[in-house]
Amino acid sequence: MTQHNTDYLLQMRDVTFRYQATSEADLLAIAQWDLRVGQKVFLYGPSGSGKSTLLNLLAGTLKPQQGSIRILNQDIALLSARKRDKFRAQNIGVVFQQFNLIPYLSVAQNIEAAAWLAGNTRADLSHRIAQTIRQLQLPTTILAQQASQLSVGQQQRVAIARALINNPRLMIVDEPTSALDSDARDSFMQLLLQVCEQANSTLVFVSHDQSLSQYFDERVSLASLNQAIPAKAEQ
Amino acid sequence: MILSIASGSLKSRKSSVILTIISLVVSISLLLSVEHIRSEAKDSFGRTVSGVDLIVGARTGQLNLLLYSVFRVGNATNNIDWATFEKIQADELVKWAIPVSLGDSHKGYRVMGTSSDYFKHFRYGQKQLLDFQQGEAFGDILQTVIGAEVAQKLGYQVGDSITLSHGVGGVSFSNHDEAPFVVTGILKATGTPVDQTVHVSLESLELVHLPAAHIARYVSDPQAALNQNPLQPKTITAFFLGLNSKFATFGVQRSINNYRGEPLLAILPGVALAELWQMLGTVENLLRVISVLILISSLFGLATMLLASMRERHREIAVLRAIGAGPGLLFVLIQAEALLVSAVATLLSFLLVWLTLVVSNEWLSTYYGLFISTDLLTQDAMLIALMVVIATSIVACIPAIGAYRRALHSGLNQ
Repeated sequence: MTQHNTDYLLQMRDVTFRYQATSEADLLAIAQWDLRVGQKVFLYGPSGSGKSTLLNLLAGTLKPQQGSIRILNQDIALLSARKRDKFRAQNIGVVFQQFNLIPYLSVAQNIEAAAWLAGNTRADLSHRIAQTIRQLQLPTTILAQQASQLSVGQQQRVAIARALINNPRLMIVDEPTSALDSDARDSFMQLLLQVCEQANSTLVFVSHDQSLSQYFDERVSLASLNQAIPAKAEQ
Repeated sequence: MILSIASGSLKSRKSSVILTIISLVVSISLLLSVEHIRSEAKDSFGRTVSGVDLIVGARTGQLNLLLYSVFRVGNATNNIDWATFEKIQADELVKWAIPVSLGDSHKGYRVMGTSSDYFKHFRYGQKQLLDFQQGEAFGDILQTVIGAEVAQKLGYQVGDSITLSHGVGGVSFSNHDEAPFVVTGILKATGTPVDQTVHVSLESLELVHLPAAHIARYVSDPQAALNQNPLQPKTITAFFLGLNSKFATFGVQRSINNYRGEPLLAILPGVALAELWQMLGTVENLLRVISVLILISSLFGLATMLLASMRERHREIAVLRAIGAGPGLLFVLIQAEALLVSAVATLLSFLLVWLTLVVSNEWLSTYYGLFISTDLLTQDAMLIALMVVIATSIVACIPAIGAYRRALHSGLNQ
């Protein structure tokens, strides 16, 4: 993969994590994992391999017992819980497998909530929301609709729009296509990679479905990354 | 933003939210009405007698004297000699004196013998004089002025003829059939026991207690009979005093209490009313405690509703966490939902109680002589609203802490 920018977006060093401090074995032990800015990586991991735990560590909702996780040169493990939440709101976009939206809010409100939490008060916010929605090939009439009225495919695209609204440097995407049929999956993947490219966001795409690795230049297996032995069931 | 998320969340759970609001409306309305009626009843109590400086009766308890002379409840233990009344009336400190003689009834309504001074000096409420809706005061014997409720319930008009009964029961074996009274006036409703009273002159009362043969003479030719045999009351039950100077009240009270002719008791109506109210305060407090308990149980219903919703909201919590919400925000969000529900319920309760008062006001004053103000926005009511908000916030901590912990521990995991 050609890399124009040499700066690292993510640098993990000697990270270990266990749920209970008293547990005998670590769940995760990652000696080193670096991602460059704009890199798009396919992280392969079957269920139970500690995927969720790794994502929570990257997002700052869990803290490692040891080691450092530097994102944009900021060791997020050293931040207070409140600052980690703010950091996530401003710099990290998260897309889940399903249920990405708050069902009783409109699409616009869902995206506005993300902007509000990031302290994003730009004057042209509604214009930017409409623009992002169009970018994801959705009609802007969808903005007024309740999230629960959308199809799963539409919801997943809105989820990307929501994640993109604050121009995140890191996108964490967890099995986003598992609820989609193969046609929808293909166009979803194309769109996702395209918008990340445009935004110059680093993408961590997590899946147990190896067939999706075809879209990526780089693939990493969590099993090779994680030196903890033996991997326990994920929480 | 928090408010629009909270209200969206509540709208998505309409049925359980509406049920919770109804339960809260019922309990807050109950609390409001109890509190409102309590303060209004207290006012109405104070209204029963005003402008009277002292009430004098035979020696008894202060409350007993107040109850039988003003509220027409219970009976006098003893009577006062007419001569005593005349002697005290003649005192230079006394401005006016109204004699009261009780003991007879008309269809369950008390009959009160008095003088025409009663209509000149007796005041109630904000020092209002008694007012006639029809007719005028009695002038002659065998004439009567009835209270608004008596006229309303029994359907009497000016000019109708009624007979009194001996004793105070609804049914009496001793009716004064030989001496029918003519209604000369009907008083306006006052919201006091005056509405339930049949007023006659002391002379008329004296008359009906004469032997039948004597009564016949007065009925056939009153003037001649009166000239020959003037009717002179020998005893009365109590009397109201108005003094020339308020400062004389305690002096006159003391001298009446020390009266040598017979054992008397003089009371200050305001003091006695306050004592009576204190006794009734127990009932009032009981009502208050019950309504507060009902409110608390409704608030726990609200907490239960929110707690039950947490079960289906773990995905929502994960989404909010993913976009950067901290556990504290989830705590605030649940609090906001609880406070929205209870604020809506409080507003609806105020509206409901106010509407009920407006609609029933006319009816209450006409049929029951109860004057309840429709002004709900009193300091007490505001205090209740504030109390509801605070209690909601305390109770809502249970689900809010649940949301906080969920957010803290499960992170992005759905």
